[in-house]
Amino acid sequence: MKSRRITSSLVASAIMGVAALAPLAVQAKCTTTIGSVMALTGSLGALGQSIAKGAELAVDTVNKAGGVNGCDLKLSMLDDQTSPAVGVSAAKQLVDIHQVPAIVGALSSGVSMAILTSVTAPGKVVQISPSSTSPSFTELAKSGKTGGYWFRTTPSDALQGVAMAKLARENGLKRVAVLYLKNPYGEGLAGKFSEYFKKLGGKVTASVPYNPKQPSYRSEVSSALGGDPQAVFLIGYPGDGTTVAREWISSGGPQTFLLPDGLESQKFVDDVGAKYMKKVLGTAAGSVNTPSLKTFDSDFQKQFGNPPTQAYMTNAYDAVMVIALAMDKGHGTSADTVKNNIRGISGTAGTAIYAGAGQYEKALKLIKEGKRIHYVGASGELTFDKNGDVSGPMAIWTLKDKKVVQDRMMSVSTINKVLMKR
Amino acid sequence: MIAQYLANGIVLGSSIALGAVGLTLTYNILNFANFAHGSLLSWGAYFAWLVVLVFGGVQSTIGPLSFGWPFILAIVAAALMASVLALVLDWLVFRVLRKSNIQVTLVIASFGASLLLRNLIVVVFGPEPQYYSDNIQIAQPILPGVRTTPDELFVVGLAVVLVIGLHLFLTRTRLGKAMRAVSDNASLAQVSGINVHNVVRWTWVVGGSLAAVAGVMFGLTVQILPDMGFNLLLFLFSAAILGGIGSIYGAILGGLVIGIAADLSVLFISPAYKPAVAFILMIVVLLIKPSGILGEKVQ
Repeated sequence: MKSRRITSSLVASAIMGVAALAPLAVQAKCTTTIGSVMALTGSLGALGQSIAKGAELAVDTVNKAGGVNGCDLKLSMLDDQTSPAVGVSAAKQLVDIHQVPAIVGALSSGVSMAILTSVTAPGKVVQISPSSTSPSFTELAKSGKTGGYWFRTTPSDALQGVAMAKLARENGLKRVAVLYLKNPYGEGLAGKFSEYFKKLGGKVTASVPYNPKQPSYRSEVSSALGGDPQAVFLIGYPGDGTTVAREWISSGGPQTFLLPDGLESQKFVDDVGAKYMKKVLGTAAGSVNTPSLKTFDSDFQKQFGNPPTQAYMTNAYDAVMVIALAMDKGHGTSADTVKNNIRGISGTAGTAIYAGAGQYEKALKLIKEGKRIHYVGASGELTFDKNGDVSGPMAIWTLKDKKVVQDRMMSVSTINKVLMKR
Repeated sequence: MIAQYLANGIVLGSSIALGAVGLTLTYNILNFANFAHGSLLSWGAYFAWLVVLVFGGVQSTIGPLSFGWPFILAIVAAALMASVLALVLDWLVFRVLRKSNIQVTLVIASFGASLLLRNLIVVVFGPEPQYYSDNIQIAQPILPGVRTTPDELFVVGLAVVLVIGLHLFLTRTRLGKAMRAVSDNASLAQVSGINVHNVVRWTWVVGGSLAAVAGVMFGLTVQILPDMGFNLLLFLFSAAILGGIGSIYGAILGGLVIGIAADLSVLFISPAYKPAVAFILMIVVLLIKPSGILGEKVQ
């Protein structure tokens, strides 16, 4: 675990070194530090290692274009080991010791929720998660408990649950069992899916929660198998999810899998064995094909030598960009500056600004001239509503030749049509 | 449906029982709660995985099982290697600390050793889960309403054989009798000419071997993970305590009771609360019979 943290900090310092040497870099005398809490180890570790690179790329891009308010932007990243307790102490460290105005993270909804309720909301620090999709954040924001400091660059699972319900019905599935991880992510997604699957004429034969790190999941699977389902909607993360999926197959469950964003991982598919997954219907936060995505892809390739493949890398990139632009717009670095200016640099009004260092420089110029801009993210339009949520299309993924591939997008209007259904 | 949960419980209970026997044995003879026992379990599973890898993975298989003869060899080798690891641990850590009479030092040291051993696995083998075979066995009906995989039947069978073997060892051999004597009263045993140091060594060998086999069994039916032993540790302790700490047959019974109770509970309450069942059961038993089900009277 230690060695990984050292590697990632080496990578980070190497990036900074490159940034300092880059001819474009304006000599900055000051530094603005923002925090980040991500799962670099633990059951989400496989995804987190990649997502972190998206955030690192954004920091590099901002610094290439002259930084924030003329100061170098620095990202102080800590590992939460996919555990709420570790995440909270990491966030506390960032807020109390480094006094960061904003935190990018966490990845797991369970960890983000713990940080939001015990560190960032009471401490009045902005928190932007790239991948926490639980609908419970929207509920919390509606009741005013986030103080407006909560944002996320990924759509809520209220949308993913609907998309999965529609996808399952489109594929002729009528009876589906749900096996979900007992945390805000699993509970939220399972709830939304069940609600809309029923509305669309399907039947949830069993809805069974499971705890992480259990010695065996045989009984959970046995009880999910009751009611003769045609498929299983397995909600979780690769670590325990692999055990549950293998147990499902071993117990003779139908090999049709509905899988959410948390399990969109090649490692998960390889460990379970693609030959046992006859049919896979997957959903994840999708992206509108914005010009930003192309820039992100090529910048990423240049920086890390391989193309970005993991979901949520763009969302992490956008989270950092949004914070940086809000600081520029508000001519400050405080949490309230970020909070009050995020909606002033997103939405649809004014000139569109895309990803990349050149566009960021253009944004700085326009802000100086007092013109309205809006950032179009690599992950999508990014229009934050009053709860800090964005809406967006959902990506549909599946397996082709044993590889995880994104098939198509389910548009916002398609999802909204289902949502309107009574 | 009940029969299926019962079968699930027996499979899990078999691994827990073997692990708990080793734990209770070391407690009885060495007189301390060994928190590093869980890590011996994990190391055993990884040792066997190494041997399987050396043989080029699982190729030929015996009958319907998912593995071949190299795997049987791997179990034996894992038991040997885990015994050596336990002896090294004893020599490096516990031998020195046994001289002090403060029991808690040993317990805390074992906790430290457990963390060390667990993280060493991550360093050597990596944090990702591993499997003995990429193939997944599909469960077959063996009785009306009960489906199991051949591997699960093998695991239960192996546990039964080992328990019978252990019983014969403890009752029929000189060494086994000596171990029971030391466990009853170490000073008296020493006075009557039993080499206590030798008994201590053999305790580690038997305990370490059983832990390794339990780890392999768990790895075969679930998965191999650096955390596996640590995650199982609470169940091992509750099995040992439930059965009556120090009682070998109690530990076996305790392991089965814990495994079956946890799996059967799903019929009555949400699986979300499954982990609590083992501990509630343990507390209830201790309230009724403080020495555990088969435990001797507390002195």
